[in-house]
Formats: sequence, structure tokens, C-alpha cells
Amino acid sequence: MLFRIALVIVAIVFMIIGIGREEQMITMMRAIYICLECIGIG
Amino acid sequence: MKQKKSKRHIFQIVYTALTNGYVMGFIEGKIYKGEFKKYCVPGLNCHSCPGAVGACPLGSLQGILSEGRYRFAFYIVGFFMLIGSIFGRFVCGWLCPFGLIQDLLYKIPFVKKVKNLPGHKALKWLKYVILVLFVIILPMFVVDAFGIGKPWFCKYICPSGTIMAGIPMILMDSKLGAIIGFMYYWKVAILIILVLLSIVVYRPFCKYLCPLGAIYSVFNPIAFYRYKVDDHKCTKCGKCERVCKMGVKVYEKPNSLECIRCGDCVRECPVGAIGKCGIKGK
Repeated sequence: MLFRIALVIVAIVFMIIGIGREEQMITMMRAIYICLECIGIG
Repeated sequence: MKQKKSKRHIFQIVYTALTNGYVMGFIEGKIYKGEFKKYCVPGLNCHSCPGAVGACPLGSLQGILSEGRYRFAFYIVGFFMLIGSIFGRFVCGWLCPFGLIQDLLYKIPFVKKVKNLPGHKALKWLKYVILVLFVIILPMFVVDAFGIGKPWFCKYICPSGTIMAGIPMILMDSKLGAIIGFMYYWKVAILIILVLLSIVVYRPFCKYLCPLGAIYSVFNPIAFYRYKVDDHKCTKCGKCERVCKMGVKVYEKPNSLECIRCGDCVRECPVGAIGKCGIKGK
């Protein structure tokens, strides 16, 4: 059980670090434009 | 049993409708550009789908890794760890739109069904190869003059992108339709093969190709949400194995990497030996 809780805590810490590095903005910038590769014309 | 099975399908349909509920996208042929696109949805859900309100986690992972300035995607890896450590492959069984599509295709009657493809034992490891190669290594290391890579899995394989975004966008936007070429037909061909296979074999994409399933599968044995077999009750009759469409020997490995937590074994066990562990670990 402790291992699972530790895993969740590490996951949250990772996400906070990622947000600190503004990685979610890259996620957003990719997601708000049509991904030409995804639709098969990129 | 049928009633409970349809409950899962109803859950899948409602969830898919909610995460792809931007109706204006389908009307105008445009994609949603709002704040929610910062956040990933757990399942394989192309963010170029006109209705998608969230980002695809695999597309986002490739996006960050191919960006050049980051060599580790803390945000997405943290997201996978969080969702995986709570749910494991429950996401595949209940929250993945492409899983729902395959579930529905498998329901098409009058076709002889096959449990697994020949070579299943070897083929099931293919999804891990695709994860390492197409989602991590190639987007990171095959870069252009500016140090920017490509989303290799999305570009060459992802059938979810083709069915949820490629086909609708091409149909709705004549400008995009005018520039389709080999890659589009390649992706449509992959989609057609998978659609036909899904009518005969249960979830072939999830079993053999999906890198997202590969990620969540690693968490299956350690997630909060797990199955457990009561050895005192289990008679090893093998009924759970027979009803499992993912080909899992549930009485031996209830938390197999392949289990998508559909719950068929739990319902079908004649002695009620298979149970679920939740947050309390009981």
C-alpha cells in the first residue's frame, strides 16, 4: 500500500515539475492546431 | 450478465460523448481551441478530432519529446503514473474511445470469432516495441535541422487519429481533402485492416499494437484497482479463462498485463472467487 501511495505522490510531483517547465503549454499548442500527421496528410 | 455488459458499453459511450462533445467542431469542421486542451484524457483520443475537448496523451508525449528542448516529459509521465497507479488498464476497458469502437465491431454477428491471432504469445509484445520505437526513440532522435522531431506513431500507425480526425476532417474541409496523398491512404489502409480484424478477433489493436495499453499494462499488477483470486474458493475450473476475450488465465494471473478489467471473469466465476481491490487494498 505504501508503495502505491508513494507512486501517486511521485506522479503528482512529476506533474508539478512538468507544469513548472510549462510542458502543458506544449501539450496545448499541439492540441489546438490540426495535427496533420494524425490525420494522414503531414 | 448481459445487463452488466451493456452497462460498461453505456459507460464507454457516455464517456466518449463527453470527451468528444464539442458539437460545433462537427458542424463547422474546426477543432476545439479552449483551455481544456491543456489537459490529457486517459484514453487514445486524437486531439484533432473535431469534437475532442482534451489532448491525446500519446500525441502529447510525442509532442514534448520531439520538441527538442525537453529530454524528459515530466507532465505526461506523471499523468501516466497517476492514472496508471490508480486504474491500470481499466482505462482500456472503460475509458478508451477506440476500445469502444473495437468492442462494437466485435459484436457484428454471423462471423466466426477467433480469440487470438496466430502467434499471439509473441505478437502481444509488439505493442511494447511500438511504444519504445515509435513513441519515444524516433520522435526524440530523428529530428530536422531545427532539432524538431515528428510524432511517428501518430503519423504512421495511429488508427484512432484516422477514424476520429482524419476521415471527418477530410470530409468536412475541402482544402484538406485536396492535399491528401500516400500517407492518408496508408493510414486508411491500416484502419481498414484493423476494422476487419476487429470483427473477427477481440480488440486486435489493444492486444498487439497500442502503446498506451502497453504503458498502462505495466501498472496493472500494482494499481490500486486490481483483481484478486480467493484460493480457498477457486476450483480452477477454467471458466474465467474461457470467457476472457483478452486471453488471460485469470485464476493464475488475475493482474496480467493483458487484462483490461472488463469484468467478464468476475461475473462469470461460478463460485465468486474473483474479487476487486480498491483504494483500501481489500
